[in-house]
Amino acid sequence: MEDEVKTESDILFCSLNRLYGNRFDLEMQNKLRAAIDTVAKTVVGLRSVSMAQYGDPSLPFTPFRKED
Amino acid sequence: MAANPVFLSIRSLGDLLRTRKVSPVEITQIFLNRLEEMGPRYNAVVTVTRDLALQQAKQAESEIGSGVYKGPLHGIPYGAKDLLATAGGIPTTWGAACFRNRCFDFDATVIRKLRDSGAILAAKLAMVELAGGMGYRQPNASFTGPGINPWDPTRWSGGSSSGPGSAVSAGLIPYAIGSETWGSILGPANHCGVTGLRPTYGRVSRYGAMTLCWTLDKLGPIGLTADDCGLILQGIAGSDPKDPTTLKRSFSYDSGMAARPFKLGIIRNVADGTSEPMRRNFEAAVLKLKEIATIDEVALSDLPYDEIARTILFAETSSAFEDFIASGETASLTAPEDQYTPYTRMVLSARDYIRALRLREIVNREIDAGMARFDALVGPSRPTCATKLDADFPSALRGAAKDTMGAIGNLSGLPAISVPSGFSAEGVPTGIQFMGRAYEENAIIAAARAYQSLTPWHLRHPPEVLSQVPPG
Repeated sequence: MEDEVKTESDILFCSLNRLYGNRFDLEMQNKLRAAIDTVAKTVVGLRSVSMAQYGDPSLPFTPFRKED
Repeated sequence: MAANPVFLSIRSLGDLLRTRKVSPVEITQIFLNRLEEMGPRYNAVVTVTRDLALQQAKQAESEIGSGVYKGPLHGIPYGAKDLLATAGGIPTTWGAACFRNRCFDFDATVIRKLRDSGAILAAKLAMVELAGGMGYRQPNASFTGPGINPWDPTRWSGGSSSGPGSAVSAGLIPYAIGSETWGSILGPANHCGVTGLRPTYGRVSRYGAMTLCWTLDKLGPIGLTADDCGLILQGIAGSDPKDPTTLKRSFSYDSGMAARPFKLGIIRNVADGTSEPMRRNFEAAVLKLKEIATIDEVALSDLPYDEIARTILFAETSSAFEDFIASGETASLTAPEDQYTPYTRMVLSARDYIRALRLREIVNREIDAGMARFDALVGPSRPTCATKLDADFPSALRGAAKDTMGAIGNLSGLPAISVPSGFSAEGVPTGIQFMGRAYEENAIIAAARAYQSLTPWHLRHPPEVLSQVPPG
């Protein structure tokens, strides 16, 4: 069956369904659908902020030397 | 025995032990008995470590008796949330049925540091399965059952440090070590009417603790008073080569710090959406705080704090538990929603995670600048007080309303302490939090200590429990 893809939430759900869909019955798939909407809404909020192109992430990277 | 140790502060207990007015073995026996007899009533305990505790108590008794006193935690029993690794055949379950028999062959750094301080490990305490990171939406999310609140057994103790909160509240143990990724120390402290301290990220080594989110996880104390939490934090803080995120800055608890008048801030509309008792008691607490502080309103930038924190939480959790989720083992978890929700985090994009980390840097700088003129920001500890055991909550992270201080504080790794601020009409505790700039635990503890010196709430204990306290 072809999944109907309209929104980002649909895309995420299709991706999830193709990876793990065989683990879920119809009732659980419906719950998954609702849960993935939460993830989709979260990233929409995240992307609503414009940032400078050069803004670093808050994740320090340090080149490694064992003796340091 | 000269005094009843139940509901005594760490400082008081320590004084009694140091001056040999009470014996470590005697008080350990009392707390072991309470853990065994009353622990099941609250689903608070996973494992009582009786043999180890008595062995450590005898050692403490011998040391103190020969004049070797190691400090304020020496000879005092404590409980550890069951996500801290313990050697010696003591299981570390992470609250999940599939790990109920799993043992590690090493101690977490926190366990080791407390042992070196002469503290006595009396119990591994219950928690929400996998520290709540799988998306639970109701209290029954642990193989030990829902955490039951000592103030009202029809209500939840909070999570994910459910056992530490209820065990301290019920006087089963003088203090406990919990963990917070988002709300897991302040929540149970709020719900159970005790004091919980979330240290600055990196202040306490996470080595040997279950990883939920590398950049959000913190370990901290739950006790009866702010002063207790300061004493405990001093015992567990410090850099650790086994946890490279630990801070090089040392921490020394300053119990004499009195910066009166304190400079406190309140985020504009911080109590909006909180339940009526939380808001009412917060307003009363602010009036009380005006006796010792100047209080100004703070306006925050319009940033999606909640979404940034959640994206980081989702992404790091899905990575930390990738093998667990991919293997299908979530099907063994207690809460039905914990069985499927983790899958939804597996499809979050790297681009969104990095965006969240870039926004986090902006938040870190803005919040630090906004907080620079304050000793602490204050707000309700949680949006609600303890909810009914059979009630779903919209989000495990925030109850029924936005938890802006929780999102910002955990996102930026800031310390916060929750202390009791009163009760609802039904007799359930409420809490107020003091959140400080990074590394300013002493400032928030001092403010919380000053508040506790003006209020009686931390001296109240659950009526059902008080009837079972032995006479002092």
